[in-house]
Amino acid sequence: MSAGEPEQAVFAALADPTRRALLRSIASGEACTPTELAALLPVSRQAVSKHLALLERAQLVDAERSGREVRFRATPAPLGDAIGWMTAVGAQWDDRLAALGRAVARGHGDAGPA
Amino acid sequence: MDVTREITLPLEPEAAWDAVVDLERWLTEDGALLLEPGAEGELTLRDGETRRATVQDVRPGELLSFWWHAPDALATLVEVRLVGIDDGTRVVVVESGYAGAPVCHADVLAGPGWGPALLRLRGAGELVPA
Repeated sequence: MSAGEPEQAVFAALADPTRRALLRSIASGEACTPTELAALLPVSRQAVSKHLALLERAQLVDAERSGREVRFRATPAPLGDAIGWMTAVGAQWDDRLAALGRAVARGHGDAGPA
Repeated sequence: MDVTREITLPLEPEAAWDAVVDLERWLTEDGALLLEPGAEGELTLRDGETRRATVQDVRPGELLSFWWHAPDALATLVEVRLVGIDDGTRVVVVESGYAGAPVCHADVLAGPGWGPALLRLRGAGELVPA
């Protein structure tokens, strides 16, 4: 199983600790506007906006614009997909390592099927 | 971003290494890798998927690593590490690099890895109705 585009976007978005911190703050309800978020984290408001754009592109947050205010909320569905994908990759390695264990149990000289 | 899985084999690291590098006995249906950095190979896995692989590092008894990718997908790094323990050898597989290796590696070094971070985030996300 290899990562499709949506998973890649989610992984790329979450590869940065600032973006993870932003998402956590938004999801927990601590803050939801770029100004509030910039006050919470040691980064400029401009940097916050850049990071939020990336999170929005990965569909991890949703922006609601009302007048001059932009409020963000977390939309966790793509996170679930990414976790599902990682779980599947892990399950594949479980199967492969189990096959390695069986091959070793059969003994080194024997390359026959299980 | 990484996925880590492991198994303990009742073998000394040297014997475990021989088993691990014999890919056709556990990983591939068809295809093997020459054990030298830069060697390339076309692998057909046991579930029928295919990967183009490039060997990165070979340290007998310790580490085999290679980059691989499915057709039209980004490459990930697979590291198979062997660690001798009292009653055998622990074989640890880490597949990483989904979001670009450099960032990923820094992150792996800095924390307990990606799985837990993702799960925590998801937990937080569920507090807010989508």
